[in-house]
Amino acid sequence: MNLCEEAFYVKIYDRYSEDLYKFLLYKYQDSQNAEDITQNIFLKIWENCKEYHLKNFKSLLFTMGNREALNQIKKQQTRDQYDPLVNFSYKPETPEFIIEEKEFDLKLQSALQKLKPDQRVVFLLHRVEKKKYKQIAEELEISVKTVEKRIHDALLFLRSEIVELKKY
Amino acid sequence: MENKEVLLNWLEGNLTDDQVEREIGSEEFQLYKKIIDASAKWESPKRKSTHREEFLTKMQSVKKRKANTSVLLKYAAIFLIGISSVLVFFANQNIITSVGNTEIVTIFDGSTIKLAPNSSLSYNSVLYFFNRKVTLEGNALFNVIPGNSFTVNSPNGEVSVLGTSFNIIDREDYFNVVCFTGKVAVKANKQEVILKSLEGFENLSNKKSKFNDVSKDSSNNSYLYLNQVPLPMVIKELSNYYNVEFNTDAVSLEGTFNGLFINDNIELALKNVLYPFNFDFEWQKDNFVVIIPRQ
Repeated sequence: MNLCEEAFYVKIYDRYSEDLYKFLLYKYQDSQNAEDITQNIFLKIWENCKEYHLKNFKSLLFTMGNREALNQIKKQQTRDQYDPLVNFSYKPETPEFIIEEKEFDLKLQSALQKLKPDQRVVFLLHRVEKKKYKQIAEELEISVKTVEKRIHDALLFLRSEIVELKKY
Repeated sequence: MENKEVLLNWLEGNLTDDQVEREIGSEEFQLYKKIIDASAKWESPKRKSTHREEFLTKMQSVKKRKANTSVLLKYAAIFLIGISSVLVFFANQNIITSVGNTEIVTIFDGSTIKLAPNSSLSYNSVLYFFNRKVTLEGNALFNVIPGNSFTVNSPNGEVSVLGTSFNIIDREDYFNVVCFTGKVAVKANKQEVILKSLEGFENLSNKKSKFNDVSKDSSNNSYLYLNQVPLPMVIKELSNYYNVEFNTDAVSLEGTFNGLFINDNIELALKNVLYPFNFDFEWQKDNFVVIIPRQ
C-alpha cells in the first residue's frame, strides 16, 4: 500500500480522480481547468509520494484542488464570471412539452451559474451524482446540517430566480 | 413540519409528491417539482478517456525524471566525497627530523618553521588553507606570516597566534613556549596564557616568565634562546642537535637553564650550557661526552 508504487498509484488515480474532477467542475464551472488541476494535483502527489499517506486522501485532494483553483482564479480574473462553461445535456421526456421544458431547463442552468460555489457543489453532488446528504458530508468533511442548509439555500435561490424570470 | 424539513426529506426520497403537495401547497409544490425534476435529468459530464492516457504518460515522465536526478545526485555525491578524501589524503605533510639534522619547512603562505633535530611536524596543506593548523612533537621555531589564526597542536598544549615568531619545545612531559615577536596564546595544563614579546611559558613551574637579555634576532639560525628549561631537557636537546651521547653519572642535573642554545658549534654550546652550573666536559669518543664537576 505504497503511494510510490506505480500500479497502486494508478488504481488510486482511477478511484479518486473522478471525485476531484467533479468537485472542481461543479464548484468552479470550468471543465478544462478542472481536468488540468486534477492532473496537476495527482502528479504533485506522485512526485512527492513519500510525503503523503492514504489516510484522509480525499480531503487532501479536495483541499489541494481548491487551493490551486483559487490561485488560478486570482491569476485570470479577466474571465467573465457567468460565462457558462458547464452545460448539462437536456433529455426531454414528453414531446409535447419539449419547447417549454427546454426553455425552463435553460433558465434553471443559468440560475445555477449564479449560485454560490459551495452551494452549487453540494446541490449538484446531490442532484447529478445522486449522493445522499451523509455521503456528501463525509466527502467534503462538513456536517450533515451544513450540507442540508446549503442544499436548502440553493433550492430557495433557484426558486426565486425562476419566479423572477417568469415575470418577464 | 417546517417547509425546509419537508423539502429536504422530499429530495432524499423520504416523502412522496402527494405528501409534499399537501404540506406546502400546490403552487409551491409545482415550482419546486419542476426544479427537482429538471435537475435530476442532468447527466453527469463525462471526462474524455484520453485524459487518463495523458495522465499516465505524465506520471512516467515524472518517474524518469526522479530516477535520473536521484542517480545523478548519488554519483555526484560519491564523486565529490572521493575527490575530497583523495585531496585531503595526499595533502598530508609529514616532516620528521632525525638526530643531528634540522629542517626548515616553508608553508605556502610564507610561514617558516625551523624544525630542531628529533622532532616531527605535520599538517594538511588543503585544510591548512582554511584553518592554519599544524601539529608538532619536539622542538621548533616558528615564524608565522600575519593572517588568520595559526595554531600549533602538540601533546602538552596548544599555541595559537596571528602572526609572530616563537619557539616551542614539547618533549615527553615537558612543554616550553618562548615568544620573540608579537603575541601568542598558549593553552596548557587546562589554562590559557597570553605571551607578549620576550615572554616565555613552561609547564613545570606553570608560570609565565620574562627575559630581556636576548635580542630579537635570537630567532636566527645559529642559536636559540632557552627560557627556564630544566637542565636534563637541555642535555637531551644537545644530544638531539649534535648527535652525541652523554654520561652524567658524575653530576646531579638540577636547576633550570636560561640563555642561548647554540646550534652550530658543539664546543661553544656545551660551554654555554654547562659552565653556569659549574660543570665541565670531556670527550671520550667522537660522539660521547662525560659531564664532570668543574675544577
